[in-house]
Amino acid sequence: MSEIILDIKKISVIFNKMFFGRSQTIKAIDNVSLQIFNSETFGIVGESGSGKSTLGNAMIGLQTLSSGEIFYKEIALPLSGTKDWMRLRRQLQIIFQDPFTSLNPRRTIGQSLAEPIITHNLCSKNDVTSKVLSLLDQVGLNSNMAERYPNAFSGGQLQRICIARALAVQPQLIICDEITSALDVSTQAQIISLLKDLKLNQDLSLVFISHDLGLVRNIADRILVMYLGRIVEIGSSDIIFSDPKHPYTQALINAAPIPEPSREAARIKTPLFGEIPDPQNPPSGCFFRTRCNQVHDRCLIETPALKQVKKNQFVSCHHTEVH
Amino acid sequence: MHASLNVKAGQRNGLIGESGSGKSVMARSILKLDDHRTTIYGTNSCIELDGTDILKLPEKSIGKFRGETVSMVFQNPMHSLNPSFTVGAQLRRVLMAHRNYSRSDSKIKILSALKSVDLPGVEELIQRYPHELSGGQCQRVMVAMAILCEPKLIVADEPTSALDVTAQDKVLQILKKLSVENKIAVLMITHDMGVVAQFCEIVNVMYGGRIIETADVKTLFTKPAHPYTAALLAATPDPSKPKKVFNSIPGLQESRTGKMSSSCAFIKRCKFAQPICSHAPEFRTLNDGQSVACHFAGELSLSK
Repeated sequence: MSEIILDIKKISVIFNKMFFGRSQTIKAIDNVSLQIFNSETFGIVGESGSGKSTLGNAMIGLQTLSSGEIFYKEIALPLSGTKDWMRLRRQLQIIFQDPFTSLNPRRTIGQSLAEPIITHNLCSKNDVTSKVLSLLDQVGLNSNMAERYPNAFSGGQLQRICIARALAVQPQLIICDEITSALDVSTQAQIISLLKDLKLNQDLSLVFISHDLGLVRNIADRILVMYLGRIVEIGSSDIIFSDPKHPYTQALINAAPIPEPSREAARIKTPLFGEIPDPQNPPSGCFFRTRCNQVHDRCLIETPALKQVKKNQFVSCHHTEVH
Repeated sequence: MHASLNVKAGQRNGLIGESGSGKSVMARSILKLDDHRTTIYGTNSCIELDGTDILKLPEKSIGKFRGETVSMVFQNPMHSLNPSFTVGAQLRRVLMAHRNYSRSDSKIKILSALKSVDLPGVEELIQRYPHELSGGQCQRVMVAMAILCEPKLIVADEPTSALDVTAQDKVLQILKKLSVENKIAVLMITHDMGVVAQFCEIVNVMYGGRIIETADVKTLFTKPAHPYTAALLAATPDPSKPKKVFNSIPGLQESRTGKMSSSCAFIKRCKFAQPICSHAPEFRTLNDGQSVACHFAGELSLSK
């Protein structure tokens, strides 16, 4: 593998909130370590409440860490809001889920796209317009669209504009947080092909957060499966999808419908029972034990550590040794 | 919108298409939920359900129809339940409107409906408020509410698109089980091909306010006959297959303000378009009972 661009070392994020005078703590991310390499696509999957988006935000410094450190190319990520952070944020961009609320409705598309270019002083004032037009062209939109306001566009077009805005500063890493879940399948395919093309043409890493397993398998080189803020399984996307080791990964893959009726009907479905536990008082030992069908006494007491089972596959489950 | 479709008793029908194709308008029409001041039905429009034409029913008797003969499950379960009332109170109101049960009878009925959607601890659940439940649980409460009065048809408008894969799987399995056991027909509106493959028997594909293809689910996936259906299938990611090239459909759906055009709705985005396509195609029935609105139905090689 190539060079590490983001090195995440044992980070935890704890939310404290007051609810009717009682203080509650929620561990959104619990001791997560991982690396993101240059020009790879890294997928993050898990149910809602598993900490996917919090991890995505933490990766670019939008989320304050309770412990642990994140290094971008061997530089520790500065505190958000500081001048150093602002400078570094040029390299680290994020695209959010809902394109309708991520653009300012009072600004034209041209103004929205010009802002990051001006903030980071990327070109002279006279060249800003031509830079904006070339960005629009890069994501397949017409140059006359720069004059219009966000309300004149469809969801797919707005998401392209958000991609263009992220690309404006020539970043090294883009976090894509459920960027297609508000879109139709055909528009989703357009956005994914666009991202794939852009990645081919430049040195760019993507972190792709989604709960659509089909999509993640299609785009990601490596994937991370999360459950209640912990790493469940991490490794090469092809290996994990063809041979998932953790019971939770198996259940997730089993629950995702295959778009082919005969194969879908022939599958043996083993549904996951129960709900994701309350993050305020998570179960002892392995977090997944309340829904797991292979629980041992050991799972109640001991938190499983992340172990390597194959080249490019790491699992945190006590049963992987038994296999 | 200009569309016809029929759902047989106990059948699981799918209605797919992209946003703006008219899927939800179709759903709302079936329950006559549209604003009657702004919605105009064509002179020979007819929505016949269990022998009654809904469009001709007076406004007063529609209420009895909704919930009793046909009920609906909406997209966002968190918004469909009233946050100020307990789950039990909301279910009881449905029974109060439609059935003349005593308090204890309605409780028995509510508990059995909640049990049939696989919710645990039902006695305690009816005392709880919607915010105490997860999205998947709320949607199962909505399904329980939909079956309370034993309807003939449930219209489900994207019931799983706000849910996780695991919760989606659960809701679909429950709906399927209820449909089979109680002979309730379901019209499942979705844009997810995976949901269609898992749940439906018959599929209707909608584009630009028209139904363009109707077929049984196996035929539709193996031998799509309309170029749009084939394109939709090619754009769907498959979790059981490694990376493939995504084939997106070029362009956007046209806006349909003003008069409906006389050409085929898909003409601008279709790679097989010919001069004849400027006339709207008639429905043709191929063998296997597949009906398609395309001039070249059965002649194009569209398989994946």
